[in-house]
Amino acid sequence: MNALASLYTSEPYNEPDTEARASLARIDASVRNVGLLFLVASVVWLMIGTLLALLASFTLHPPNFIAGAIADIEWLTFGRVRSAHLNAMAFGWGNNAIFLVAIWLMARLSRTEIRHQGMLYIAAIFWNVAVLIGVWGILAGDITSVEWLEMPTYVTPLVAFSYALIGVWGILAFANRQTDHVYVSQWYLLAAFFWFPWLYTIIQIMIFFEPARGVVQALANWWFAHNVLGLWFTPVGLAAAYYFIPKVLGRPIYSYYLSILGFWSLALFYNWAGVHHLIGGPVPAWVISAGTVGSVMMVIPVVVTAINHHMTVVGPFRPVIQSPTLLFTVFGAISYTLVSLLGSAMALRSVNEITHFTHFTVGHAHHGVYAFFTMIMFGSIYYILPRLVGKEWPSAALIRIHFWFTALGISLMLFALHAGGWLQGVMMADREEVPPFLEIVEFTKPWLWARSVSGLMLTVGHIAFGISVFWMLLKKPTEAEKEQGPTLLASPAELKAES
Amino acid sequence: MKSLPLLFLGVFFTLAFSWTGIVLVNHLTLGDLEQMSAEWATDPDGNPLVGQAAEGEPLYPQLESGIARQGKQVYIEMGCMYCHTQQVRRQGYGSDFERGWGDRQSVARDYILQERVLLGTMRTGPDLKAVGQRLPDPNWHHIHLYEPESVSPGSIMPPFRFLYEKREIDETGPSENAIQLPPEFAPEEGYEIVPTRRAEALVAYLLSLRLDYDLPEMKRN
Amino acid sequence: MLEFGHYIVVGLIFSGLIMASAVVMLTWAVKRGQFKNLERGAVSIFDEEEPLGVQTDYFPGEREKLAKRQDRRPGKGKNS
Repeated sequence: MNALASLYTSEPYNEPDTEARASLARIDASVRNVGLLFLVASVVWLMIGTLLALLASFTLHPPNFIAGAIADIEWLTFGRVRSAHLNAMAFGWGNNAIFLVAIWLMARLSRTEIRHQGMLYIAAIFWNVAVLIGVWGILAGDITSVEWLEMPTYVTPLVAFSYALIGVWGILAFANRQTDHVYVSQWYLLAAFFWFPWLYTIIQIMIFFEPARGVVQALANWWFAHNVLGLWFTPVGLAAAYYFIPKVLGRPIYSYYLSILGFWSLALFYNWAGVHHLIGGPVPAWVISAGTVGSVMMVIPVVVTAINHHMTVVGPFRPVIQSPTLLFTVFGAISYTLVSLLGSAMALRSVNEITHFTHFTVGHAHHGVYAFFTMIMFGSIYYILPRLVGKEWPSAALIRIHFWFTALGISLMLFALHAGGWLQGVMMADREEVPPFLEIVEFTKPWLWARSVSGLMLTVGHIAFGISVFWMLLKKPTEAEKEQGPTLLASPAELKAES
Repeated sequence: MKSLPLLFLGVFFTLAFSWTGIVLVNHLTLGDLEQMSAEWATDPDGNPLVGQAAEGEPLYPQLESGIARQGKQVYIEMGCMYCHTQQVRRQGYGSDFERGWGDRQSVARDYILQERVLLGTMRTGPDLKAVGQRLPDPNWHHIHLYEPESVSPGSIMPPFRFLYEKREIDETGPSENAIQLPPEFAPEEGYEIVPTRRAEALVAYLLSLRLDYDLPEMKRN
Repeated sequence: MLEFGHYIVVGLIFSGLIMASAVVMLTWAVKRGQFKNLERGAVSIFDEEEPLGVQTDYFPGEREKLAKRQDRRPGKGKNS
């Protein structure tokens, strides 16, 4: 078999007592082709986004050789590179990973093989073409300078069409489910898939096609942008955590009732938090207060979720370090708690006076999208991919490198940006001394340099991950894997019995 | 929690609720703001007629010139917003006032004529809402854009050299538009740096950014 | 625009309607049995293939190592 053919392991498992297993294997197999499409796309975008991040970060501090080298290249000016990075990561890496994880979770939780894959193939192609054109467009100068919507409007129809296909597929898949129970992850996924198109459509109209007047545009912008985080990335991250933590451990979620409370309180409060991006700005004080209230009330769903996850995991700690999925997912879940509590604090006017407009905010953003969302996506992929292709991950060492470099890398980044950003903010808010602006800039440089170093660490982790993924895809399945399916579907006791 | 319609209703409701509060209500109250004189009109007894412009008085904010509008497009294309804000916070909150970034807080009415509002959320660089007031010399802006460190030592702003042309000075002498760089950053003998149309437009836009007028709801100190 | 007092009245009516509808929806949900058998929901992700109590993810090669260790410790065999 050549390398490409080894992507497919279509032989059925032929153990006598595996009739029940075939059902899960069939479900996983049905997701395989379209899942791999989204997976490969997500990993490619992760690499592109990482490269763009390094380029942006290194130009903001000495040594300045990169900044000097690109000074005459319009396409690589900081504002564009930074925005290209954001969009490549959010809509390239993030969304492709979301589609993979959501489709697989929906298939598993609906207990049915997926159908109408054609829609998903088309959606995947359109989506990635859209993001490619969009990121290219940003660098070429068609950047819109609207936060989280920098991609030029000529990609909007592609995005909308692709998403419509996925949305319709999702509804059909849910309607065809074979279970009468709807698991908590499914609520989060369904909610996310309802929310995102509404948000996207409304904001495209209110900012581009029929622009709202003056600051109403800013309010709409931040209602949208924060909800992309809170009603799209967060629910999918939580859906994954709510599935993988109990699934890997073999223990059910500690309190299902708490998860209902967590879901609805998130739905109610997260929506309002977006205004906290405009604290101090030219908008009415009451709406700022409403944003602060929403942000602080988020403590409820966050604490509820934290209790749930913690109490599910508590007990023997070994499984967490024995399982790649749990390592990444638990890291992500803990980060979710921390970033949200920090976020609630940042929404208080007194704290915001210091943190607003500083690198602290950038740190907070990466805390959410990386330490929480991205780490959980990594954990999810470590669980899903072997089941899609019927093979074991090739190298535990690569996985450990991936984990440690990303965990330590993001921790360094968060430390640098939070500490540096806080001190920067204190200096900027000082009404007595009023330190000269350039002095403050000088002060931030070592922190920004530390951020670049952390970016290098993340890059190493991502490269390890990319190697793992492509090695896994291209390697031939071993005899054992062909016969039994991936051995990670068997517990040590079963393995012992079989040997 | 098994019902798709229930989920959909709840999810729709929560989104509609926040959109109504954050966007719709503010659209209804702020969406029809118009340009306004520095003081409300008054009735014959001298009482202010809130919401009405005084007759014959200049109205603010004012639309920037055509070339400044083009410059705003350059501002958007260069992503300036990602390091610079355009909002002045109230006195006593932050140090915007002490830094001379504006004589007064910027309010909603200041933004009504902008079809793309560029409030910004990062101050890697200073706020620019009133930069045209505190830095009125076009040459300063040109040399700052060409080589930020020439006027701001230690600046991490990227140079925008591609908005400028380096030319040989011909026999008719140096161009009127040539920018005057400090000696360490100036080109070699016989060469000059001339702004392109985009640079001229961008600087015109920056100079148009002023908060030098009063509004009834917010007066300068 | 309306007077300030009118806004308060409108606001109160609006929020009253929201509270009322939330109470109605919650009561309906409870009556319709949406909240019964909650714990059944929590275990719904397990089945014969991937039963309760069985860990389902390991580093590559980890499982074999643990199986060998169980061989060497006969009284204690359990995936911890």
